[in-house]
Amino acid sequence: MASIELRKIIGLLRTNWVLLGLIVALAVAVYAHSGVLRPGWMPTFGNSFIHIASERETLETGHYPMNDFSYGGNVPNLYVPGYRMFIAEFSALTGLDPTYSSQLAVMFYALLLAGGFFLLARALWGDIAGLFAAFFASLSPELLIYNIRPLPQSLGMSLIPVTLWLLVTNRTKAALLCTLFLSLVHQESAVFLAGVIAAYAAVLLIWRARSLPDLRKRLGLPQIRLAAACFGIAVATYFLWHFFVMGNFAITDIAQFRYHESGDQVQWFTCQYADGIKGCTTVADFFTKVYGSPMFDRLGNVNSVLAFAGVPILAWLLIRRRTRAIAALFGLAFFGAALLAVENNLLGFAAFTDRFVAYMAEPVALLAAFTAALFIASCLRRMRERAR
Amino acid sequence: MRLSARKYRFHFLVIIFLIALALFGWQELERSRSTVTHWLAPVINDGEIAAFDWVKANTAKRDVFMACIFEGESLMGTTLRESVEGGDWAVVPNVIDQMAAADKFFFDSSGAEAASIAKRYNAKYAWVTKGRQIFCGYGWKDIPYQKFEDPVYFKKLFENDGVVIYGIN
Repeated sequence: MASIELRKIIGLLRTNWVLLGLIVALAVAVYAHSGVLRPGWMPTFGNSFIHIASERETLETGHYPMNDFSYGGNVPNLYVPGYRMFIAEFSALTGLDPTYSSQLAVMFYALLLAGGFFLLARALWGDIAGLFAAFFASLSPELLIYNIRPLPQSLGMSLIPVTLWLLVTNRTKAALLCTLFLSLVHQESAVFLAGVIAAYAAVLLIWRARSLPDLRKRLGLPQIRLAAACFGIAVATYFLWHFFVMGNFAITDIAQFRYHESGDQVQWFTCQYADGIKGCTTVADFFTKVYGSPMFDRLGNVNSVLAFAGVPILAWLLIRRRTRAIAALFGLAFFGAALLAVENNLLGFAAFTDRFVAYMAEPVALLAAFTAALFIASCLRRMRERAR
Repeated sequence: MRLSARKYRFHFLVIIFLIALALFGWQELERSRSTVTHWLAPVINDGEIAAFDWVKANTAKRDVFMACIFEGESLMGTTLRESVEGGDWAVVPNVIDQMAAADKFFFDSSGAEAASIAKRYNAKYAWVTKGRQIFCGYGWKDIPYQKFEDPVYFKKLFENDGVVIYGIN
């Protein structure tokens, strides 16, 4: 009897291993984010309370305040309203004060982030990659710093993998709606998303140039059309909101650009980046300082080692046509766009270079999942070949 | 049953890989959790939290306080009052001057100068934290409290172990 029950359990595990693995990954994500629910006052780093002000005003008066409470007031409430509306609605439905509902909502973002990574990686490289991605989403300190605090960025960053999943699986209406919502939740996340989408469309256009030389036909490809539509929505939403509040399109006049907020050169290695190789006394210095380097520490060492090993492998597989081209192109475009965002001083912006490190943690987690899944899949294939 | 190492080498590889991933991954997870602890700090003290009730009962919505970033934003979110410093700086005119003025108000001015700064920004009250340093954008500093004791410029309206709230004369 006992052995029959055991066989039933093993059978269930074998047929539902993906679901069980996902449940464990979601539990890990909730555990990683549970620090925000500790008793006491809500975190104040990251301007959490400025959003609560608009939420509280909305709840008390029934109207979203177009006059900000910041810096003495009499300032247009320029921040995109989506997150604040979301928390205000959540508070209205639950009866919770916005400070509590903001913190509780972080648990939802934890599930959304891990779940979104699962869906995206699974769509690109299969179930094993999906599971790895769901776990790796919780292993980046930098990503957790910005995902655990009750902020629009937390919701925005959690929506990115979901939106990208909808994009790569050509779920048109959902992708457009999700892009619209994300653009109204957090500006920086919308900028990053738009950059990733543009990079993806660009590499796809270049890749298909040989098989489809006619540019108009390439531009008519379903993936390109959807990417262009999502990009257009992300850009137009923010520009229109800016115009609605300020009466102009002068986005680069905002303080974040004028004063290059968080725009310092990020440090990749313990040997100063600006010094190049000269900053390291020996070649061994350079390589021994990679693991545990400032950047890898922030992105997550496990994720970084796997991802940075996986990028050349993915590129090689793509060139040799030994992998699905769209998935490879997407992964490389995602990574490349994030790298450019972190180093946007090269493009003359020098704004939020440091903040985009958290965004870089997303493609790093995804590509780490690719590398881990590739290794497991290769071993499984060899095991099956030997079994025959 | 003898386990042939050669026959099962890929099985061993997978198991070792997963175990190593789990061990290093757990280490990274705990490191991530400990890294964010600092970022979850409330910053403001229990006395300041208790003082919000007084603010709600004795001041009007959108009344302006002289306060630095964390105190100002907490006031905004909890009581719907405004702060000379704190919030979204995106479209605030002369925002750097305003931040410098808030810093000067608390740290580097006489009572008369401080009161003048407050009036320039239509601030009716000053939120003077006790027991910890505050941050106005130019480093964490201790507040020199003596100037706020001058009744010509400041009138003490509320005090507990975390904060003193002054009216600006």
